Amino acid sequence: MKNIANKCSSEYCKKKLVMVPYIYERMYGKDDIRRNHMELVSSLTDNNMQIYNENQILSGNPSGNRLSIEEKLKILTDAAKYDVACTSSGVNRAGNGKSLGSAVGCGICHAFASDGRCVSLLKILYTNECIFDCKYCINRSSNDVPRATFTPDEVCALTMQFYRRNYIEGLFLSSGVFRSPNYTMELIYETISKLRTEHGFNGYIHVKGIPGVDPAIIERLGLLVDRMSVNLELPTGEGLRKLAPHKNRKSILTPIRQIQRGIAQNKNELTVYKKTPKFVPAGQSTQMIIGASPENDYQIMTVAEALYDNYNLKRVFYSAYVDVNKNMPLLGGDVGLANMKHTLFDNPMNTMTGPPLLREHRLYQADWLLRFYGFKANELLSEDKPNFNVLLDPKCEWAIRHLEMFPIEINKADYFTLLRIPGLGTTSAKRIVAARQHTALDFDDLKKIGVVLKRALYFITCSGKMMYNTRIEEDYITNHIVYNDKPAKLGMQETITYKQLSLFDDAKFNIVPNSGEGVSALYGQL
Amino acid sequence: MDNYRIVLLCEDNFDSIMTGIYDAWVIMNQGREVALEVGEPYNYSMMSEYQSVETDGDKAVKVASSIRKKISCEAYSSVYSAAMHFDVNRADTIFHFLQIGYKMGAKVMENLSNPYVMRILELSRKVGNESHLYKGFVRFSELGNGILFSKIDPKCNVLTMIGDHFCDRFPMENWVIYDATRKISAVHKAGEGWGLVLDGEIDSSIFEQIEQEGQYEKLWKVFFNTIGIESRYNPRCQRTMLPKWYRDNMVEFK
Repeated sequence: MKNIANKCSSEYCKKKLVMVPYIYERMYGKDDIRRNHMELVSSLTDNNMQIYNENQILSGNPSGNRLSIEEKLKILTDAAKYDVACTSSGVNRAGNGKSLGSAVGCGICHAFASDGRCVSLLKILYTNECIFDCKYCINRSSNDVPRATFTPDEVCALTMQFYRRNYIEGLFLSSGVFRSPNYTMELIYETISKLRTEHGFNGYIHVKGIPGVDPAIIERLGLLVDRMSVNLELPTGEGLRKLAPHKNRKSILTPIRQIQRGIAQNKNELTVYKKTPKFVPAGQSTQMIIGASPENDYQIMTVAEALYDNYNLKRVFYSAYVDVNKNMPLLGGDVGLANMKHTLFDNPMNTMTGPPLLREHRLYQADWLLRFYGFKANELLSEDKPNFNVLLDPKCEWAIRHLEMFPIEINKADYFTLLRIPGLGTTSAKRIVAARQHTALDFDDLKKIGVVLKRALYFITCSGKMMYNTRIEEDYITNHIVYNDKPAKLGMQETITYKQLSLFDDAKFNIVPNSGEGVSALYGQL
Repeated sequence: MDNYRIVLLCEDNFDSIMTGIYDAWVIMNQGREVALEVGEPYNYSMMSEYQSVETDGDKAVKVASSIRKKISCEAYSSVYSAAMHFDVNRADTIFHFLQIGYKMGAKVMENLSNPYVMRILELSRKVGNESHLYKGFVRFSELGNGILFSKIDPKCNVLTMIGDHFCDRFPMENWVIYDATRKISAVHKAGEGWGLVLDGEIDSSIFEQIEQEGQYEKLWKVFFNTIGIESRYNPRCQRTMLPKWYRDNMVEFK
C-alpha cells in the first residue's frame, strides 16, 4: 500500500490518502489513536462542567465612564462596515502544529450578513477618531458620532477567541487617522505584532495602509500581514481634491507602489533563500467609491485596468456610494440607473437615494472580464459609449456589438474564443475543451456537462448547427435575451422581429441623464 | 431464483461501499445482473434478490488501491467524495463509473458526456461544495473542560472532508464535531491527529450546555448584527449564500 502511495506524485494522492481514516488506519495501524478519541468522548459526558470563565482582559475592564467592550465593538464595527474587502483568499499556509491558525488559498466565508455580503474576517477599525475630513465618510472629523478606541489586547482577545470558535477566518484591521498617519500605523503595528508573536496567531490578517505613512512602517508591517490595501477612494485626482481634501493622488499611490516593489523583491529573495519571511504574500487590493464623484464607467474601468497592469493588484473593489452623512447626493448619472433598477428588480430598498447597486454590479462583471476573460477596458467601453448597459451584462453587450465574430463553433474554437461567448464561463469552457476530445459535442451533450444555454444558444453552433432557428441579428438577439423569450423551435419561422415601443426600458438605453435632469424629472418639470 | 437480479445492500460508509463493489464485480463476472444500493431499500423491486454486504476491510482496500493504480488518484478522490453523498444510487453510479474507468484509464475523467462520469462529478461536486461551506459554518462552543464542541446536521457525510482542515487549524485544541444526522463524530485530541468515532452518540446534556451563551457568543452577535449595511439590505441574497437549514446550528441566528 505504502509503495503505491509513494510512487504516485499526484497532489490528489497525498491529500486524499490522509482523508480516508478508515482505510488509512487499517493500512498504517493507528488503532491507538481511535482509542484515545473514545476516551475523550467519554470524558465529555463525565466531567462536571461549568461554563468557562472568559478571559480576564475583557471582564476586568475598570468601570467608570469608559466604554464596555461590547459598546466599543459595536461602534467600531459600525464604522468599518462600509469597507468592501472581506476576502480571505490569496495565500495557502498550513498550520504550524503548535499555535492557532492556517490560511486557505481559496478563502472561506464564515457567515453572510443581512446585506448578503460575506463575513470572512473580523472587520473592525482600531479607532474611529480621525483628523481627516473626507466628505463621504461617516468617521470624518466634523461628524458628531460616538468615538471609541480599542487597545491592542482587546483586539487580540477578540480575534483569538472568535477564531477558536470558527467564527472568522482572520482579522481585518483598518483605522481612522488618530493624531497622524504614522502614529496610527504604529498602533496597528503594535497590535498585529502582539497577535502574531505573543498569541502565535497564524491565521489571515488584512491591514489597511493609511496614505502618507512612513515607508519604514509599511516595510515592517508587510512582513507580518497577508494582505495590505491602500484605498484609492475616488477614481480621479480631481474627485479626491473635492471630497477628500487631506488625501492626494500621490500620497495614495506611493505606498501602493512601495508594496508592489516589496512583493516583487521578496519573490526574488524567496527563490534564493526559502526561509525569507514573506512580504504581503496575498498581494494588495484597493477600493473605489462609485457614484460620489462624476466619473463615468469608462474612466473607472481604465483606472482599474491600469492598477492591474501597472501595480499588479490582486483585486480592485467597487463600493456603491451610500450617503451616510446626508450631505452629498449621488452623482454620475446614478439617478437614471437607480430608476431602472427599481423597475427591473422591484426591490423596495433600491429607491432613488439608495446606493447604485446595479452600477456596482456591472463594474464587477466587467472587472471579472478584465481579470479572467482576457478583455480590455477599451473593448467594453469607449469615449463615445462611456457607461454600461442597464439591461445587458457587459459581455453580452460586447457580443451583440461584435456579431461578425459569431456564431462560434463549440467543437473547434480555442479556449479564449469560447470565453467570449455570453453565458459561458471559465468552468464551462474548460469542461468543453476536456469533453470534446472524446466525442463531437452536440447541444444535448452541452446540457449534460452543465453548460447553461440560455444566452449562449444565440451565439454558438455544434457541428455546424445552431440550436434553434435563431438569427444573428442585433435587435432579434437583444429582444430575446432581455425579455427572456423562448426562441421559436426549429422549422417554425418567426416572421417579424418586433420591437416593443417604450419610453424607458429600451435595451439600447445607455445615455444616462445627469443628476439635475433626474431631479427635474422627479418633480415633473420636464 | 437463479436468473433474478441481485441487489447488494451496503451500509452508509466508504468501506462498505467498496466491499459492495468488490462483491458486485464477482457476481457480474458470473454473468448475472447486479445492482447496488445504500441503506435500507425504500422500495423493493420484483424479480430481485436482496443481499446485504458484509464489510471486509481487505476487499475495500483492494478496490480502493486498484482505482488509484488503474485509473487515477483524481478518479479515486472523486469516487470517495461521491460515496459521501446522500443519493441512494451512489454505490451503483460508482460501480458503473468504475466499469468505464477500468477500460479507459485516467482519461475517463474527461469523458463528461458519459452520464455516469458526469453523475460522479456532480455528486462529488455537491459533497465538495457542502464540505467547503462547512469549513466556514461550523460553530464551536466551549464546554466547561475547555473542549470545543460543534453540532452539525449536514446532508452529505462531510466529516472526513473537513477533519484535516480543522486538525491543521486547531492543532492544540481538543475539539469534537458531531454529525447529528449520522450520529458520528470527528474527534481531535490536542497535539495529535484526529479520527472518526462511528458509534459515539452524544449525551444530550451537552446540547443544553452549548445553548447557554458565553461572553464571546454575545460579542459575536453584536458584531454580526452590526456588520450588515442597512441601505443594502438583501435577505434573498443572504439566503442564497447561506441557506436556512445551515442556520439552526449557528449561534448568530439563534
